[in-house]
Amino acid sequence: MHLSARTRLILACAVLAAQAIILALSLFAPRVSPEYRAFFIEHTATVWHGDGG
Amino acid sequence: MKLPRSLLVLAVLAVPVRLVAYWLAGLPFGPFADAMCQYDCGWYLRIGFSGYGADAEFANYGSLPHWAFFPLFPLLLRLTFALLHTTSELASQEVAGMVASNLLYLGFILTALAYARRTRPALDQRVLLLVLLLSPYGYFFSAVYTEGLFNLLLLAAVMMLAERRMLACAALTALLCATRPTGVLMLLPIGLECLHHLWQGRTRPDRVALLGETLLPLAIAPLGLSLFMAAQYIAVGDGMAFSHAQILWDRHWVGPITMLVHGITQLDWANLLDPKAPPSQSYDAAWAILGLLLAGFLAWRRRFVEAWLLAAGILLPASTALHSLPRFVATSPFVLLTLAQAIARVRVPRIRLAIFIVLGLLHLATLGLWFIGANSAY
Repeated sequence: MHLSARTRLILACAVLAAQAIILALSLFAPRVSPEYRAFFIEHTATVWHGDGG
Repeated sequence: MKLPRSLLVLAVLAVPVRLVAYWLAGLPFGPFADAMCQYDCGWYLRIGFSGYGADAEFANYGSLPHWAFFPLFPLLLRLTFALLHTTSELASQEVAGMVASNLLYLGFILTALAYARRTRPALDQRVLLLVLLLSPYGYFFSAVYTEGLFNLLLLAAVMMLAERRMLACAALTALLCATRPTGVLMLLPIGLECLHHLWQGRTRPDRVALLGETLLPLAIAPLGLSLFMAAQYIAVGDGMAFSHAQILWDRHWVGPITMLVHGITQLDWANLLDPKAPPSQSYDAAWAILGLLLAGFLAWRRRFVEAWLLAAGILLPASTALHSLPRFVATSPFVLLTLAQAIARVRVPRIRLAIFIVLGLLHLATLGLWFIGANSAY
């Protein structure tokens, strides 16, 4: 599939912007209960274990 | 990269032959599919067949623990199951899972052979094939685990990066990011390659084209993780649930150095002798240190991308827990390639044969521990 240079750039910017919004919402605006926040978010730092489980 | 036909045939035959050997070895341990399905296998099957919303049967946390597991592998399990037209009995799900894992394992072997031809042309590929079949902990490739999928995608992405096929590399990385949290480690080499491309083209007059070529791979590569985060945000309101759920497995940020020092000084090697004892932290740390030394060796040989992926793939999980590190190190394609190179350097056939016998015995020993559900096998 051939995309023009302009389309390629617009597409890249749109996809990056959408991902930035997802990241910002996830990091700064979680929609969770106070109990969830206290136990899962504030109780522990972000953990990046390797096995997907 | 084209492989010799004889090697292809050998690889295609070796995977089912190895599985038959496993079946024979597993006869004393009950039904084969059950014996092979230990630990995380049950999580992947439940997510694959009942979805993330199903009850995880983990204390009173509902479906939340499921989000610790990334979605691509469970999706493939479901797809394989649908293609096989099997029934919905659990045993059949396990068989479908093993079919998927072993096909991915075959794909990994073929990719590793092709990658070795490109990056290590002097390496005897028969030696590499034997290492891929006999290495300790190699049973993870045949069990319902992400080893085959992750390492296949990782090697394919690195190969595309080496060939400067950035869109293909980015697409494979997107899949990698939907397989395990450490898939994001590929973003650094992709980012650096894109910056290099931008720098090389700094005098080009078509700036729009140059920017598009640079940014599109960067936009595609993390998509797997971003979409998973979006799904989590919609389902449970927390896009980082995959990370936060790790606390249910008692994983906290400690830092890799502290963790490794703590592990190696525990001197709890005796735990290896008791299958039901907690995992030996000294043993797990020793594997991690071995992997880091190999990463140092790869960096010394100027294989920087491989060194980064191996080292960071150890340090990141080691920052929270040492458990699983023997598996990550022993099944890493870069460790297996380095081991094959070392064995290929042995010119005395008897010594080489002895090394393969030792590897095979270690493989069998770890497989036996797996069948009885020993903590040290995981």
